[in-house]
Amino acid sequence: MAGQPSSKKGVLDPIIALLRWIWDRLERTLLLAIKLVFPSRFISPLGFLGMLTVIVFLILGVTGALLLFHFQPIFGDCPPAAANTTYVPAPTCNSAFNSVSAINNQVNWGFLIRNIHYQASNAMVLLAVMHMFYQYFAGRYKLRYEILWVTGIILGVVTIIEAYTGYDLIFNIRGQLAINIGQTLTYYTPVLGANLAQIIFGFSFNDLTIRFYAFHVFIIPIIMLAIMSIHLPKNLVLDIPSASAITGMILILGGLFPVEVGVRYDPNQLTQITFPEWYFTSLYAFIRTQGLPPFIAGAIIPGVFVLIFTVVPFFDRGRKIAMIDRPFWVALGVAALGQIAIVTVWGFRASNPFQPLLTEGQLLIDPVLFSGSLLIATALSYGFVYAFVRWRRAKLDALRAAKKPIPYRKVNPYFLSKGEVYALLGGLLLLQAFLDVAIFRAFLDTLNNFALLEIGMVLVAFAATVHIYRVSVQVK
Amino acid sequence: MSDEKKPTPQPSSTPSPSVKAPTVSPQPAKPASAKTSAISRRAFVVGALGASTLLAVAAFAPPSLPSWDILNPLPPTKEGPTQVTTLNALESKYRNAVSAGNLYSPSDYSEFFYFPYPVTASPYYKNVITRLPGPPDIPTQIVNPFYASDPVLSKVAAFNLTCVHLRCIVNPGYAGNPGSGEFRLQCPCHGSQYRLADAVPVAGPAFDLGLLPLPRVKLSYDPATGNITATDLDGVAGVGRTA
Repeated sequence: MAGQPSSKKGVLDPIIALLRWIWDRLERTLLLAIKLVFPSRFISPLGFLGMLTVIVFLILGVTGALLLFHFQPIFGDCPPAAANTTYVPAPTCNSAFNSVSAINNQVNWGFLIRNIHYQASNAMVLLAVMHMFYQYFAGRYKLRYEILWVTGIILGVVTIIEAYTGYDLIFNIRGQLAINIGQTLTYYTPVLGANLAQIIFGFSFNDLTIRFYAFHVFIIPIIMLAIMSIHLPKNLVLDIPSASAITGMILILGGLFPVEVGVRYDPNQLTQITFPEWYFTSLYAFIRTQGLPPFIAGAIIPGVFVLIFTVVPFFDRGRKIAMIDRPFWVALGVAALGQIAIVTVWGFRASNPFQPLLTEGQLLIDPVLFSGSLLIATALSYGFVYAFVRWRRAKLDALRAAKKPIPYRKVNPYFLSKGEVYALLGGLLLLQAFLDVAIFRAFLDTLNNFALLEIGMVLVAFAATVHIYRVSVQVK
Repeated sequence: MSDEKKPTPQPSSTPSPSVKAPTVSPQPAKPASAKTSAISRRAFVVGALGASTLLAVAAFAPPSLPSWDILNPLPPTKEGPTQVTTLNALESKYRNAVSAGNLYSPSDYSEFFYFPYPVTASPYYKNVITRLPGPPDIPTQIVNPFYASDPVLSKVAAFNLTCVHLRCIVNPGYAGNPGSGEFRLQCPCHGSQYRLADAVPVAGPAFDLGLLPLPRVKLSYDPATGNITATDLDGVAGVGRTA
């Protein structure tokens, strides 16, 4: 090795020298303090759901930055029509919605970027919740993980607030209804309510748009980055195939279910009504429950729910983290998941699904049925899981007492032959090339969602290629 | 790790007695001066730091002009008394609706106006003004209790339309049984209903939760011109009437 470099002078040598020079200087910075681990073998992606959340956050940052160039954070002027004329919405009315609509329909690539941004926001909320529950069941909130856990919970709540400010900015009917509810809940806060509502929502809808714009694109992301700087562990696992696959899946979802801009909100037209985004229907169910004051339904109940999870590490003091050793906490987690599921479904429910939502009594939830179903589901899921874990535990203890080996399922991996690997890799490359051509054709034919779907497929194919490559390198 | 480093500077400082000797001599004098002064130097610095911090904070928080006002929005100027409609216009609309058989849909004979802020500011300042039904169309005259003694305004009602439940804009459509003699405003979102005469919640979530009535638009009537003027909004839009 020592003799060879002197005889051969590569073309790339100066570039390599430059890179090495930069790398050496980077050691003085914070950047290299974070250790990125690229796993060489497949490990369950459940373990790095958190990393996937970060990647989706980055996607949101990039697409959001592109949307900034076209979005107008102004509600505008909506003068009422003169008497005895049919109402025509003023072009100055709801500029925010108009600009989103223009992004969707006119701006080049705007449809794709907006769809990716929307789907990624959903994915981020979902991934964050999944990450939280995975870490919960894995017992990853004790053994000096407490600060990571608490900051994670705060980060999750902030993520949902960020999503809320985002979908209000579109100023369609759905966004406007969410604004109404948010403003009411803030107003009903004891003591601070009126001042807080004025600071957050402003006085007019123009104030509101520009304030939410500031929150959505600057203030809350900065807060998220600040919390992330505490929440991210020192060793980050960056699994390129999983990251690429999740990005691809987001795009495929965007292609299959392209998001509508929604119905434009116009204060001069009669109120219309829709359901909120899926991560808010649980709150919406409580708000709609008969006889439950808005502040209790929309702030106290979810607050208590979040608080219980925040303080879990300070009550579960055992040193064991296996699920089988924590029947109470595992059952609590499953009961919480069951509650979330049931309440979310209630939130989407109308009394008569065949009638329009504006019909009287459509959105009222009977408190007895609601709390009854909630209690029964919680009790059943809690009791069943608790009993199951205890039963498994007893079985294992019996085996241990009898000094018998504890059985476990062994998985025999299937190894591809060399020819199969080459065929697969070649096929995937061909598929990507074909998709690349197809994307441009679809884009030229303005088949926007088809293009989005295909970009997603390219990413998934890339993920498969990298995965097969690393497995084959490992096996030899 | 810190324990390993500590011993290294100590030997380097100890073998230089020539430097240390002058510094030692003032040291006996130091405790004596500390005893004479009332406070130590450290306590003085800490006290000064604390006091200046307090003063700096206090400079930002006079109760008359709190500095967090920077966060507050700039509200548009409130409109003064505004002529909304004329009694004749209301009356003729009402007559037309009655002859068309639409007595039980008050939206057919109501008028809408934005007061005291224009719609540009916020949709929450949308108000309705209605001629209240009376004989011969229904047996007894519905009376606006705020102007019970006024011959004209007792038959007119004007309220803010932002629902106090979750801030949807209330439709002044009918929400009772035709022929019942009841006239109500109904919110389309979750079905809160308000009496047309005084905007007190009578059904739906606003009633269940015991929320406040809708804010009232204060009116004045000029018999010479027949103009009806809105003078003030009694209450907060979206929160309710307190008086």
